[in-house]
Amino acid sequence: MTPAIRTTGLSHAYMSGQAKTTILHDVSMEVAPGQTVALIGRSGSGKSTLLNLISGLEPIGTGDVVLNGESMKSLNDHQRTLLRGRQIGFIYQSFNLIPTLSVADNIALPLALAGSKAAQQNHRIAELLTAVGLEGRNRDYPDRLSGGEQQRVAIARALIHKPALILADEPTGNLDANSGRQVMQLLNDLVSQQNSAMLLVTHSMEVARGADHILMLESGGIRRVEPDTLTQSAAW
Amino acid sequence: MLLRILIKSSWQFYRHHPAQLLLSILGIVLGVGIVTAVLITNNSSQRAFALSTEALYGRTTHQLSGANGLPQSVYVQLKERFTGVPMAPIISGHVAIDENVYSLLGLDPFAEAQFNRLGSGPAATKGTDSLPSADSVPIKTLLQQDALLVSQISAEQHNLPVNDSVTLNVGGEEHNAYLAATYTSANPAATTGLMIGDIAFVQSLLKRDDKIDRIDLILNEQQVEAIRGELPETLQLTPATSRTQTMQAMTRGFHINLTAMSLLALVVGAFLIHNTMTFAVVQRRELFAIKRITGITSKTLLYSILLEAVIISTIGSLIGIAVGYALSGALVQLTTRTINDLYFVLHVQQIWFSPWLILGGLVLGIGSSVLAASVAAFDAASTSPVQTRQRSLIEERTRSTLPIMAIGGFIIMIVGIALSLLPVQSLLVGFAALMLIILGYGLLIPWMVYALSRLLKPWLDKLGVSVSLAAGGIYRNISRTGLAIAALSIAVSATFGVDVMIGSFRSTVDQWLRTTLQSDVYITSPAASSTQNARLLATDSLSLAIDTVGVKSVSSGRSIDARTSVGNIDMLVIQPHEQSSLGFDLITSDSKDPWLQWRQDQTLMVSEPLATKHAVAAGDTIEVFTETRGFLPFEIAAVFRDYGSSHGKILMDRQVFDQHWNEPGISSLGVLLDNTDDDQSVIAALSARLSSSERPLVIQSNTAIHAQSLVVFDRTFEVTRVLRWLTVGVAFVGIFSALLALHLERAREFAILRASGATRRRIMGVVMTQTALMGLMAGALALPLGWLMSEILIKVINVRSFGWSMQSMMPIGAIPETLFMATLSAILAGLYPAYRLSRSAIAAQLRDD
Ligand SMILES: Nc1ncnc2c1ncn2[C@@H]1O[C@H](COP(=O)(O)OP(=O)(O)OP(=O)(O)O)[C@@H](O)[C@H]1O
Ligand SMILES: [Mg+2]
Repeated sequence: MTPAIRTTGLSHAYMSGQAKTTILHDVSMEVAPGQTVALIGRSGSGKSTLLNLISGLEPIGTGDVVLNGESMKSLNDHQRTLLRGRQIGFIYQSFNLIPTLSVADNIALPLALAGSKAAQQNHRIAELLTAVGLEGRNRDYPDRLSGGEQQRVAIARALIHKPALILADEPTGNLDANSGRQVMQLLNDLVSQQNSAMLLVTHSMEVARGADHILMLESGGIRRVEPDTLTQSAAW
Repeated sequence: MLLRILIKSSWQFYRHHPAQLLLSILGIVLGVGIVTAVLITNNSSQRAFALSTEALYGRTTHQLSGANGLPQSVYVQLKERFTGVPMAPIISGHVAIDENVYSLLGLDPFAEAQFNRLGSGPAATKGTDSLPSADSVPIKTLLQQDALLVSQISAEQHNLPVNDSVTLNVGGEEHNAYLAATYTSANPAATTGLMIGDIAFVQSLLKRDDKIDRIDLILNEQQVEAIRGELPETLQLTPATSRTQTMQAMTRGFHINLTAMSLLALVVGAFLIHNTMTFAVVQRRELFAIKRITGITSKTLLYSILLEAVIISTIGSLIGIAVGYALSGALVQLTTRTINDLYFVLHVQQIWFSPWLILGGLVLGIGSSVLAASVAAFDAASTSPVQTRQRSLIEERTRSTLPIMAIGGFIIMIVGIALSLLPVQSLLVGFAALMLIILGYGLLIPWMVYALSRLLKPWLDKLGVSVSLAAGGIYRNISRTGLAIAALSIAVSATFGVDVMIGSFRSTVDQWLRTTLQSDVYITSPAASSTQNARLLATDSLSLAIDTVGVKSVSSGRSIDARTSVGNIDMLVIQPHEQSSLGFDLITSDSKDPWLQWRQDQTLMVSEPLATKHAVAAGDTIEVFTETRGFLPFEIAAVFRDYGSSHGKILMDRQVFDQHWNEPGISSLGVLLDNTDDDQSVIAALSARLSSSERPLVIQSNTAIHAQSLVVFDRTFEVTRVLRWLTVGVAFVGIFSALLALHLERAREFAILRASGATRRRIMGVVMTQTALMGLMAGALALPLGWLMSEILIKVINVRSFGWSMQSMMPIGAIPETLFMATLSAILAGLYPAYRLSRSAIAAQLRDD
């Protein structure tokens, strides 16, 4: 079975002034459909950078990203964007909802951008709102929801177009333990229902343990760690 | 200390948004620049005028003149009767060398000693026969044959051959003169374009026979009384200042109109400055909220924002004043040309500048900026830090205030309209009405934008995601878009209003010319300048013209500068032919047949501007200073429409005139043809019979005169057009900065769209569609306001400043043009923000803070 996402020999560096700082070096990893992989690492280790490379938000330098069998490297920005729109759902620590769009409009965004008709969207929106426990809140504005509620809207938005891959960057980072737990529960349930793959960046051991695998970024390299070794090495 | 940190933080913000800073400053520069330029221009030409009359009058206190010059003998008699009283005979006129027109002053070198003309130093410097400061003004050289003096500056400017002979063009005839010397005066700016000659020589040049124009005198009060007591009623002794005042009054309407245009630019400018400053503040609401959270009080925040506004606007205003000064050079040229076309020959040599101007510009620029910033600053400082970050809350609050604003705006507009309908003559009230209407409508616009975009949304949704997102973006961000659209709309409406005004004016004048030019062919002497009355025609020209084959009938005309109870007025004396009366569109008259009444003794007609300005109507009388009997009352038979002069005009029948003036000369002929198809051959025949090389004539068909008049008309409004384009420039900068701020504020939103699968092209599409929609709305909303403005300009401002009533006319073409211009400028202004947004780094925008 083709993995939902695979990176091969991915390297990335930022220019800061004259100096070149390598963030990722020869990173190869993959996530299979239906699988959830947790990505951990110190702050500044390049977790978000890796996610951005995978989603095509950052141009790929060395190495390649293969999304659902399609190599991203050969694509131009336009094609990468279209691919991202179809195949990837995003969840961020700070939600990144559009404040002046209603909850329903925020959720509908990926579908609307893909050009689907409003009538088709409505059914799916209602379905997802119920699934994330926000039925009836479709006309509210996201910046006046609680953090947990906002993240649930973001989850609905990430899932609405049934993408092959969900990228979640510290989805519970801004939430208290309790609502974080609820959001994770919800996310895991919905992702497995859809048989999507999920790459999940987290600082929480508890969240990481819920994943199928755990990958750790360290000094630009990536390696797999076992859940039970986590407690000692986790210095973050 | 804290303030310093805050200022530093502002600086940091602008350092990373240099475009914002530049645009803020540019908006203020343009706003202040336009107003300054117009102020300088108005003042320069008015001052140049005052200076040149001062220079020409010297220490003259009074002037003695008749209704039509005065015989030289009067001077001789007066001199014998009042020995010891300084008096000097004067003749003035105009001559041309090549293309340049000069004022020509004929004076008696021996009579000048006390007058200290040209500001050439203290009087009575030397002995009896010497002239004031003979070094600087070598008046003695005038005693040479055919000698003329010319001001040093003019000689240099026009490369005149000093100590050599020149060919003068005097009313189309060529004469030789000897440029004996140049002179400098205490105030060179005042005497540019002035030539001086001996009175006898000037008299022969200007063909004044044995007449002089006036006698200048230096009198004390007893002497005034004594002379007044002995004067016949056909002569008048007037204070020297009165003539200056009349001439200044002539151009007042013109200057007021210029000021009106600059005020319009100012309102637009102020709106845009407001817009720019508001965006500069709202854009940083989040930043301010963070500062508030970190413990900075709202008062400190308020001060820091205001201080920032002061700093930015001071820089902008200072540059604006400099730009205005530079701009005024070009404007002065345009306006002097118009003054020369319409009123009198004027040379503006010196651009007027005063420290007060700097102060005024600073007050204007800083005042409007601080006012604008304070509203936004107060808002930013008073909302709680938490609320500040809730964008949807701001929008909701704005939405709920829209109807209130709209109602308030509506009431203000009604007050403005009511004010404009008040039956008063005050121009100030007219301007106040105009400003209120603009302000009221400006408040109404955001609500209309909101309603309109909500209304159109379902249809726009059908046009695809980009259009749908774009349209939604307008009402969802109404707190920002409403302001930007209002500013653009007001700017566009101003240009639309001015367009409609000029268009209406032009078509009215066009129509009027069609009626007024009843004769098929007109014959005049060439004039040195269009302002100057043409010279007289030969006495036999009337009979020669009538006898020409193909000529049906001939009317004659004579223009004279008449002194009346309402000031010096241009008087047209005509001996009409059968169609002449058709050339006058009578507005009011008492009698059944006003033309019959007009032919009776002591009646005349007056033009509309005169009637409006001096509040006279048919049936009233005005006094006219006649040559034979001094002041006599004349009854107004009717008021006629006239767009030829804003100062007013009197129409008098030739027979009536001949009873009170000894002035048989005529200056123009109007020829009616048997057959107009043949006009060219009749013109040729007339030219052969009447014109000669010594006395060249201008013989023109009415179509040629019509076309020429429109050219002068268009030139008159060139200044207005220039100002209009500058206003468009201000508007463009304003909309550009508004759109930039508006979209950069939403950079994260666009990054979210990008992450969710919106391609660069789509982002460009959304932004461009949105700006185009905003432009289109601004254009559409500008139309009603523009129309209202044009109505006020035409029916109130123009009537009150020029006395002309006009038919307002909507040039249909101006509507699509306005929509197009608004949309295009919005699209152009949106290009850069669209490009920026589509290219911005998505990851950086989405990074968690
Ligand atoms: N645009 C950029 N230019 C230069 N350096 C960058 C840029 N973006 C990220 N970096 C650097 O790259 C490194 C990795 O950043 P990244 O955001 O991927 O870390 P992270 O693992 O997600 O950290 P955290 O857990 O704190 O979110 C950091 O040191 C950061 O400073
Ligand atoms: Mg990160």
